[in-house]
Amino acid sequence: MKINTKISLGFLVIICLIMIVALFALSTYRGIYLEFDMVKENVIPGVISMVEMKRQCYQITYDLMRYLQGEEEINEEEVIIDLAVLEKIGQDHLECKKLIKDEDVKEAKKLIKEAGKIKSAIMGIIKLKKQGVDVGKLYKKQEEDIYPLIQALSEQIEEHKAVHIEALAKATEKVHAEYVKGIWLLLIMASFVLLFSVVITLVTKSSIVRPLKVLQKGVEVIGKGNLDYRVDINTEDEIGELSRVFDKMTRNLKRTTTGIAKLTKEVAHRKKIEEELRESRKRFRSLVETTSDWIWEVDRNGVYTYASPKVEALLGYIPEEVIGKTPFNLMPAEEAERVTELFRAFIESRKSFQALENTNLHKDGRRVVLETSGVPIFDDSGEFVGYRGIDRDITERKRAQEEIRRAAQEWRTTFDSITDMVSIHDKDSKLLRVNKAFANAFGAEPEELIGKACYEVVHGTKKPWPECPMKQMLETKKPVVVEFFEPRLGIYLEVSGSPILNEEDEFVAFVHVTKDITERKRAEKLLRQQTHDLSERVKEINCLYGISKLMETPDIILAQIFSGITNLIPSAWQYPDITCARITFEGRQFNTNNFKKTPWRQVANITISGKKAGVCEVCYLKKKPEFDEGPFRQSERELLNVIAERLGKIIQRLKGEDALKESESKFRHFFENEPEYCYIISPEAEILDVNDTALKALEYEKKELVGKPLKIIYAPESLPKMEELFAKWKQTETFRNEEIVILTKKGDRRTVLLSTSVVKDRDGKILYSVSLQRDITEGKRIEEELKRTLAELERSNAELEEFAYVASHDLQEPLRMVSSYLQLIERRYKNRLDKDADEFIAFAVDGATRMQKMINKLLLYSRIGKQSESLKPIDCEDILDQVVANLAAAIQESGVIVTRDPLPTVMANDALLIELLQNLIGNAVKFRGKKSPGVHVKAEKKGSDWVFSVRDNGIGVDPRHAGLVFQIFQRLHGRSEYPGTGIGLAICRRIVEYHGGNIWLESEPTKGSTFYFSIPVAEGKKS
Amino acid sequence: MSARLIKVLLVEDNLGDVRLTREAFREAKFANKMNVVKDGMEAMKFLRREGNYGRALRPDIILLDLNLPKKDGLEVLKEIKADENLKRIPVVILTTSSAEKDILNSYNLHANCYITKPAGLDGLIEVVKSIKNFWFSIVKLPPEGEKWIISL
Repeated sequence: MKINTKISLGFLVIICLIMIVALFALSTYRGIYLEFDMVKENVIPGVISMVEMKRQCYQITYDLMRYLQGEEEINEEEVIIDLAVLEKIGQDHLECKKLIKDEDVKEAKKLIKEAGKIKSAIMGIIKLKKQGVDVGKLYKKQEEDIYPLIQALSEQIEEHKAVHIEALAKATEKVHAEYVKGIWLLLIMASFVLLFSVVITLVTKSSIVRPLKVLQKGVEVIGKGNLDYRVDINTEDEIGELSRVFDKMTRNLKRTTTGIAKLTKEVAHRKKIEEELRESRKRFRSLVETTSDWIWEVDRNGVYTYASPKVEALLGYIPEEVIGKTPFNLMPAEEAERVTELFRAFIESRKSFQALENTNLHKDGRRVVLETSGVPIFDDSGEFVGYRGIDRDITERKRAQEEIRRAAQEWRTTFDSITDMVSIHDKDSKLLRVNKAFANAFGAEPEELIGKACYEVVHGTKKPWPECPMKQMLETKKPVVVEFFEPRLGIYLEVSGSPILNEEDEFVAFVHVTKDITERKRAEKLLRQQTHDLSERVKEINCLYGISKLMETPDIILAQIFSGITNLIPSAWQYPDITCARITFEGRQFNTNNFKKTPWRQVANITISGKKAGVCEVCYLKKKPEFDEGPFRQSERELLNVIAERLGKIIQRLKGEDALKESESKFRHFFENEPEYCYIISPEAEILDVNDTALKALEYEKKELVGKPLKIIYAPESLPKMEELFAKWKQTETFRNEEIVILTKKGDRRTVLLSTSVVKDRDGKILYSVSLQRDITEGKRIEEELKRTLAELERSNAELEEFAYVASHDLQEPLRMVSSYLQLIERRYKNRLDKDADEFIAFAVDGATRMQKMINKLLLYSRIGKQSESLKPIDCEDILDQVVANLAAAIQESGVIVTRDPLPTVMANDALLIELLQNLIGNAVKFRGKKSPGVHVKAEKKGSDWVFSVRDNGIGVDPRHAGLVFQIFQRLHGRSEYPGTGIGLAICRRIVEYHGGNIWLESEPTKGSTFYFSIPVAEGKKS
Repeated sequence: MSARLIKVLLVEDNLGDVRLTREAFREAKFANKMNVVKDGMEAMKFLRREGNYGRALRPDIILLDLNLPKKDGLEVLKEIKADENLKRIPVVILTTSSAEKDILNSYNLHANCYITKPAGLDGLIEVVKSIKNFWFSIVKLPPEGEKWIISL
C-alpha cells in the first residue's frame, strides 16, 4: 500500500477516536448540567421562599403588636398589607413548584392553608380592636390564637426547608460522581489515541526509512563504478517506483560507458594521424616563410582560404585578415573591375595563368603592384575546388619602368614645345630628328621629315645653303650663330648650331636652333622711330618747364608772362625756325617777332571760369609735310592746348591773389578797430599781431609785443591756468570766456574773459590762433563789492539772531522767578487775603504767564536757523496726526472738524513742521466760524515744489492786511477778543523760509482764509 | 527707602531758584534732608567732606545746575563721575537751558538724566513729584558703602 494512503488512513482513524472521546465528554457534561438545573430551578427558589415566609411571619407579629399598642404610624391597613404579602409568597412558591414536581405541590398548598388561618385570626383581632376592646384583652387573644398558628407555620416552613436542603445535598453528590467518571473515561481514551498515533507513525517511518537506506547503499555502489548492481525494492509504493526508475537509469549508464571505451580507441588512432600531418605542415611552413613571394589558395568562388604569412610583408594584412576575402577586396575599385573579367575567364576555363599583373592596396593605403601566377586545384574526385598560386611584388620594377617612360615623354614634350625650330642633323645635313615647331613651319609632321636633307626642306635647294653654319662647325667644332634673310619663306632667320661630340671627340650629331627674327628686325626699326619722337617730346617739355619757371618768377606781371611764353613756343615745335606764335588776351597782344598769320595755323582758346577770355596761335611760315592734322603733329596740338589751359589757370590765380589782398585789408580794418583786445598768436604761443585797442589799454607799443611770447601779458597768478588752457587748446582748438588776469605795462591788473579759435591751412595744420579778450575788470570789482556787502549782511543777521537768542534766553530766568513766586503766593495764600489781593495776584500771574509764552515763542523764532540737524524725509501725514493730537483738547472743545487730502513726504525738519502746522491749525481753530467750523489740509505738486494749503471757514482776514499778519508782533485783533502772542505766523514764515519755500495768504472776511506754503521737493537750502 | 529721609544735595547759585525748589519739594510732599551749595568748588568739598563739611552725609541724589560760578556744572559732573566713591550717586542735571549742546555734553559725561526747569511753579512741582516717584520708588539704587560686590 502506498505510503500516502497509509498516512491518510492513520490520520482518519485518529480523527475517529478523538470524536468518540468527545462524545463521552459531552454526555458526562450533560448529566452534570441536568443536576445543576434542578438545583437552580427547584431547590434554591424553594429555600428562598421558605426564608421569606418566615421573615414575613415575624414582620406580621411585630406589626400586630405595634398596632395593638396603638402606635401612630401603624394602622390596620399596614397589618392587612403584611398579610397580603405572606399570601403572595405562598402563591408564588406554589406556582414555582407546580412547574417542577407534584409532591412538592401538596406541601406548598398546605403552607397556604396555614397562612390563611393566620390571616383570618388576625382579621378577627383587628375587628375587635376596632370595636374598642381593651388592649390587654387583645394581647391575650393574640397570645392564645395567633402565636400558635404562627408557630405551626414556622415549623412547617423549617421542615420544608430541610427537605430542600437534603435535595441539594443529593444533587451535589451526583454531580461529583459524574465528574469523576468523566475524567477517568477521558484519560483512558486519550491514552488510546496517543498510543495509536505513535504506532502509526513508527510503522510509516520505518516503511519509508528502510527503503531509503537501501537506495542510498545502491547509489554508493553504482557511484564506485559497478554498473551491474540493482537496487531492487519491490514494494508497490512510491519508494518502489523510485527504485525501479533508478535501476533503469543504471542500465542506461552502463550502455553509454561501453560506447566511450570504443571512442577512446578511435581517438588514439586519430592522434597518430595528426602527428604525421603536423610534420608535413612544418615542412610546408618553413618553405613558405623562406620564399619572398606570397602563397595563397582560393576556393571556386575566389575567396581566399589560405594566405601565407608573407602577405603581411607585401600588403600589410595578416593572413587572418585576408582569409575570407576575395582578391578584389584587396584592389582599388577600378582595378577590381578590370581584373574581375580576367579571373572569371580563368575560373571558367580552369586554366593556369602566369605573370598576371594587378594593382593591390596595401593596408596603409598605398598601391602595390603584384605579379600573380596560379594553378587550379582539384580534390580527390577530380572536382574543381579552387586555385592555388603565388604573388610577387613587382612595384619597384613597375616604378622603374614608369620613370623611364615618363622621362622619355618629358623629353619629347619639351622638345616639341620649344617654339624655336630645333633640328638634329648628321654631318651630311640629313635630318635625324625635328621638333614640332620645325615641322609646322614647313607644313609637315616631324616623322615625315626625318631622313631628308635640311637644306632641301628649309631652303628648297638641292645643295647646301651657303650661309648654313654647318661648314663652320665642321671646321671649328664650335657653336656658330648666323643671321640671314630666307627669300623662299620671306623671313629673317637666326640659326645657332652646336656640334655634339662623343668621348673620342668625333661628331655624333649637330643641333640647329632656328629662330624667326622678322619681328625683331621690325622692332628695331620702330625703336629708331620712337627715339626720334622722344627728342621731339623733350623739346616740348622744355618749353613747358620754361613756362613754369617763368610763372614762379616773383612779382611777375601778366604782360611779362604772356610775352615770355610767346617766345618759348617756337622751340617746342618740330621746325623752330619757321614757327611763330601769338597770344591775345583782353584786347592785348603778345607775339614773336617773326609772327605772320599763315594758312598753316594752330589755335587754342584761353578760358577763365568756363568763359573764353583769350587765344593762343601758332603758325608755320613755310609749307611742311602733312601729319596728323595739317602740318602739325597731334602732340603739338596738345601742347598748345596745354599752354592755353595753363595760361587760363595763371590768370585765375593772379585774380584770386588780388581778391585775397582785398580780403586781407578788410580783416586788418576789423582787427584794429575791434573794441576788445585782439591777438594773433603763432602755434608756438608767440604774439604775431595785436590790435590797437589792446595796445592802448595795456599801454604797450606794437613792437614791444610782436614776436614776444604770449606769457608776458599774463599776471603771474594766471600762468598755471594758462598752461592748462593752452594744453586744452591744443586738443580742442578753441575755448570761450575763460577768466584770467593780465598786466598792463605799468603792472596794473585787469581781469578779462578770454576766447580763442584757430585758423588752419589746407592740410589741417594750425597756422595761427586768434584770441579775443573782453575786459571785465570793472564788472569784477562790482562783484567783489557785492560779495563783501552780502557777507557783511550775513554777519549782521547772525549777530542779530544771536542777540535775540541770548536776550530771550536770559529773560527767561527773572521771568521764571516772578511767575513761579506769584504762583506760589496764589497757592499758599489763596482765600487767606482779601478779594482785592486775590484779584491783584491773578492779574500779576496772568501777566507773567503771558510774558513767558511770548518769550518762549520769541526764543523759538530766534532758534530757527540754528538747527544742527539736516533735513530728513518727513511724512506729513504723521506730522498732521501729531499736531491734531497736540491740539486735541482745543479741537474737541471748539467742535472744529479737521479734514485732509493725502499728504506727501518732504525733506524737512520734523519739529519745525509740527510747529508750523500747529500754529496754522491752532489759528484756524481760534478764529473759527460759528456754523460747522472746519479746516482742510491738502498738498499739490506745482513745478519743483509741494504747495500745501490750510483752509478754514472762519472769520477771514481783510486782504489789505494779508501781508501784515506775517510780521512779528502784528495782531489784527485785541487781546480781549482773541488771545495770542502775535509771533505765531512770523514763526511760520521763518520756518517755511528755512526750508526754502514761501508762505502767503488768500482770504475773504467772514468766508474764511486759506494759508498756502511751499516746500521744495528736493532738499531745500538752509537760510 | 521710605523709612528714612532722602538726602538731597542741591547745587544751585540762584537763591530764588533754591527757595523755589525747596517750596516745590514741600508742595510735592517729598520729605527730605536738603543740603545746598552755591558753586562747583563747594559741591566737591561737600562731597569729599573737606573743610567745613567734615561731617557731611553722603547724598542719595544730586540736583546739579549747569551755570555755576567758580567751577562749571559740567566740570563738577565730570569730577563726580570720575571719583570711585561718588560715581554711583545719581546726578540729575536741573537747569534752565534746553540747548542740544548742553544735553549732549551732559550725557557724554554720564549724567544720570537731564531736566529743563519748567517755567511755572506747577511744572516744577510735577518734576519734583516725578523725581520722587522715579528715583525713589521705581528705581533701585546701589547699596551704600560697597564699591564692588564680586560673586564667585
